[in-house]
Amino acid sequence: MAHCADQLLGIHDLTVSYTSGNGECLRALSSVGLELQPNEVLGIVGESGCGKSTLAHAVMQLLPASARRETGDIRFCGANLLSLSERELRSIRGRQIALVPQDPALSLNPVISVGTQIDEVLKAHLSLSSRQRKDRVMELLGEVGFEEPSKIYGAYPHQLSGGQRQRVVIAQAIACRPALLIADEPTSKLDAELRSEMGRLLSQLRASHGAALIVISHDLTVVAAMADRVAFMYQGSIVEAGRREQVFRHPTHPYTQALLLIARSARVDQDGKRNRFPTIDAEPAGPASPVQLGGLLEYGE
Amino acid sequence: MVNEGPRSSPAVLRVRGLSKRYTRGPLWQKRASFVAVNEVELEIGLGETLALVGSSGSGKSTVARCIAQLETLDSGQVWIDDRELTQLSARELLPFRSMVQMIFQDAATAMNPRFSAAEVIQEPLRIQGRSRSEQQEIAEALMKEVALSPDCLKRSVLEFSGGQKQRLAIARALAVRPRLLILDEALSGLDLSIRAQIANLLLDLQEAHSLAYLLISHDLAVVAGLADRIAVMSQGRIVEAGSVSTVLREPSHDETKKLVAATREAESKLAISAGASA
Repeated sequence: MAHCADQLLGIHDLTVSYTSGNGECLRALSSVGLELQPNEVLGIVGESGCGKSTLAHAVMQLLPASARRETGDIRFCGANLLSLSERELRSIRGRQIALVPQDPALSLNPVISVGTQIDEVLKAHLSLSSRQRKDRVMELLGEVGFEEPSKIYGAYPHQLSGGQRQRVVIAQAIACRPALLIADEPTSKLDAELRSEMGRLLSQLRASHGAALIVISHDLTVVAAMADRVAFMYQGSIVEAGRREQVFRHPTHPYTQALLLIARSARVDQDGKRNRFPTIDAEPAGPASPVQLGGLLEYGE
Repeated sequence: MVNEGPRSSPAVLRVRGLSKRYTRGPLWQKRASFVAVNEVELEIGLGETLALVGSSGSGKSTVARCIAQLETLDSGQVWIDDRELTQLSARELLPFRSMVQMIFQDAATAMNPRFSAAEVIQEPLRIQGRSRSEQQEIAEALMKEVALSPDCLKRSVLEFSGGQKQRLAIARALAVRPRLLILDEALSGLDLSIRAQIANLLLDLQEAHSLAYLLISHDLAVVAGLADRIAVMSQGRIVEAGSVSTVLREPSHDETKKLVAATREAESKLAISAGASA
């Protein structure tokens, strides 16, 4: 089922808006289109409010009730995700498309051992005996880099470090060998060293399982380290997309150019304290800004 | 905002032999003692930025909390100008508390969500017994200084974006005329463009008020652009210290080498070389 000839995921003309508390309509995604081939890594870069998480949730069909899809469709292995029943969707989520959540501390249940939480995924999707599942969980814990899986199996999330919790949610995501992994800011809560370690782990697991990956981040270094292709989002639209080398070397959109300039301006090699960092003039906040900011504008910038 | 001119004593902050232990483990078992900070020494001068870097759990934030007197030290001394703080009573400590202000990573959780921007900035002034009109005046000036419109003073803190909340937190800290700002991952978690704006603001404020900064960060690239000197922590100790250019160019300790290598690796990907593939 997860074997699709050429196109794994195709998003076409997707427009999503939210209705805020006071009835205002806010467009989070406008006419977004993208494609993903099997085994490919796509990086989606954008700053707060640009719609990148809405896009991830749209693919998972996990948008909140306040969200409304105005136009567009999302095809996964040829099937239109938007026309599937909740039951059919449930068989895809976690099994064929899996999400590596942003904050493992929040997405893990604090009162259930992590082994059991990985087991839950297997139980929901595969018909294995409890014995087989337990072996599988141990195997998964080993795969994500735990040296003594049996010690981790019974541990509770609070007993683990941030990096260890991240490994646990990655184990959950790859448990059913999905064809597509979506990592939403997979490393934003980690320090620099762990960030590159987790990036490597995710890349390596993805490659060995032959899964495609969408990595969503505001951190250009994360995307740069992992992606074959990149898409830059600004205010709900994809403003530039292409092969990573191409876009990074010859960015054409002013926003992409500015973001790359800023990212490259902070360097280990610079000569001590600098005068000023380059900035972007435009307010990077996206469609959510009218409500969040209540018309508040940056002053004198 | 800070006392005028360069001082005869160069160091705003001096820390000597700072150690801090915590006990951990379940209450019903024998609790193990754990050394979070071990014999740390550091100094920051007027208008100077010292960056404290290290991986998670190396003790950076504990050092900061000890300097701000939010923790009692197990041993060691903390000097602000010519006064040693650790032996002072709570009452004697009061004037020194305003001299050291902290800015945290998550500005949202550091502010009362029911407060307006005005209340956030004016609360410390009210506690210091300033008059209403004085409070108002200072709050307006501070909003301008951090590049927020004074018209927004009446707005709830919830109406500010992440970067604006961080500006507000900086304004609140400046309200009590500190000499030292402790920036505990204050630039982490912000969007790139916002991070650059806040970094610029911090540079401007430092120049205007000769503020001393203790910048705690795991992001060496930001550190390189903001700090004068750098101290690297590992397992509670400072393992390497010196000027930013020396330490980052020629790291000598393994921990520093590891941190620099991780940052360089990320940078090289960003600079992009042909044929590299994930």
